[in-house]
Amino acid sequence: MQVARPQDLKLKRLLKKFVCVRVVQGNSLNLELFQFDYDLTFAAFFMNADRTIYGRYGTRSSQEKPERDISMQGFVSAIEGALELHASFPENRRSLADKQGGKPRYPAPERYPTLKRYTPLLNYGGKVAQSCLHCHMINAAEIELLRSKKAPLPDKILYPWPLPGALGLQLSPAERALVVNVVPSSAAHEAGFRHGDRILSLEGQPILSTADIQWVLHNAPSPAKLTAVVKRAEKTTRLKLRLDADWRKSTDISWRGSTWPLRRMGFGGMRLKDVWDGDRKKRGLEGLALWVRHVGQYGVHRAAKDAGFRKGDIVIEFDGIRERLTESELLVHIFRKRKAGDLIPVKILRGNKRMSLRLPVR
Amino acid sequence: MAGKLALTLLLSVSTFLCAGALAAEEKKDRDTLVRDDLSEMRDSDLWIYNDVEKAFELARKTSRPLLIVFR
Repeated sequence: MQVARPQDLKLKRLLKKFVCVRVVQGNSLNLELFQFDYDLTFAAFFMNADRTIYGRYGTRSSQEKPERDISMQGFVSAIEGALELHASFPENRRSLADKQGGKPRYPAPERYPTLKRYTPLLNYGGKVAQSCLHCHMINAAEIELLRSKKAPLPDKILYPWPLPGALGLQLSPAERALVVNVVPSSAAHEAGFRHGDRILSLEGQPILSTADIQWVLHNAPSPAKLTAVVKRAEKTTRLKLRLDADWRKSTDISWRGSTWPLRRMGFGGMRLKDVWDGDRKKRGLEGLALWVRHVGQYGVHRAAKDAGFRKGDIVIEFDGIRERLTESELLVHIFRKRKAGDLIPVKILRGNKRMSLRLPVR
Repeated sequence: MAGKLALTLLLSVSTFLCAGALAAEEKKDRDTLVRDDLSEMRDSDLWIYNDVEKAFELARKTSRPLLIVFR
């Protein structure tokens, strides 16, 4: 039997102060009201009955180790913060206004051309799982739509929901926006952030969670100037963040479900992973070295297979690039520099043999 | 992994699960899991299942804030 922990009981007590609703489908999702990181498997909104958003909760940075991003304690802390904002409402309404996003392309996901097979309601009497539109399909549908129109993919689509790490900040998953590390020479370091700072607001928006910071960053331009207010030793301090044109570039998108269409279009259905340092040393590899972990076998996912790529190959040169890049960085290169129909020259290692292949971009 | 933690996060506030029952759940097909989930949530005195407008209406009447979980 699972034993209830003290924080679970506290959470249960706190939740009784809310009207709690669980949404299990992306079908008929109100895309104007509910703008969140659609690649998450768990996301939460704290709201007023008039639809003002107090905050968001839910963050993910990789496919493994979710405890790096979320925790029960952190969730409880965000809930307590939401209750404080609710108690101060409507006097704080103005500071919350920008937590609501702009008008989306479509009011509901099933309006996207690639999602039209889905209906607003789940088919509980039939194949209910198949009738469910998953949230990550929304990002994928937007990517497919832009690509079909031969439109460039903006940074906001390529690098959605940047983590505080993009600024050089590491936050505690167990606390409300508590800084536990500042990377030297980063934008956060230059702005004056310190270990132990609690971020009270960013761009004037009250911060309950890492997701709230991500919301501000998701909507920030490149370059950007952002103002943060932090609590430090019982005093509040205003800090100015200056972000350069490429500030989103360190964001890892490889874990995202919505990256699969990018792999299909840009890598011909391959999944790549940076060769780890020990293996690089053993093989004498420097610079670009991406191991082909997966090659699509069917339909539109088999372009790389048809071009001659095999699982286990190591990509050592891609479109003239030889320096060390991650899979995410290489994908972004393709969507910034290449268009559908281009053939990308690629050099690979297969065993000890060097080979040249040409990969079509879709 | 993230999915399991998230599920635990949600379920731990609404019910206490028997570990054995959870293992059995994993063997069920996805359609059955979704339907079982609906049945379980319908009996909850804390959670409204999949009806955001009903939740907004209740929040308006009771002056309570909303917690809307997507899972």
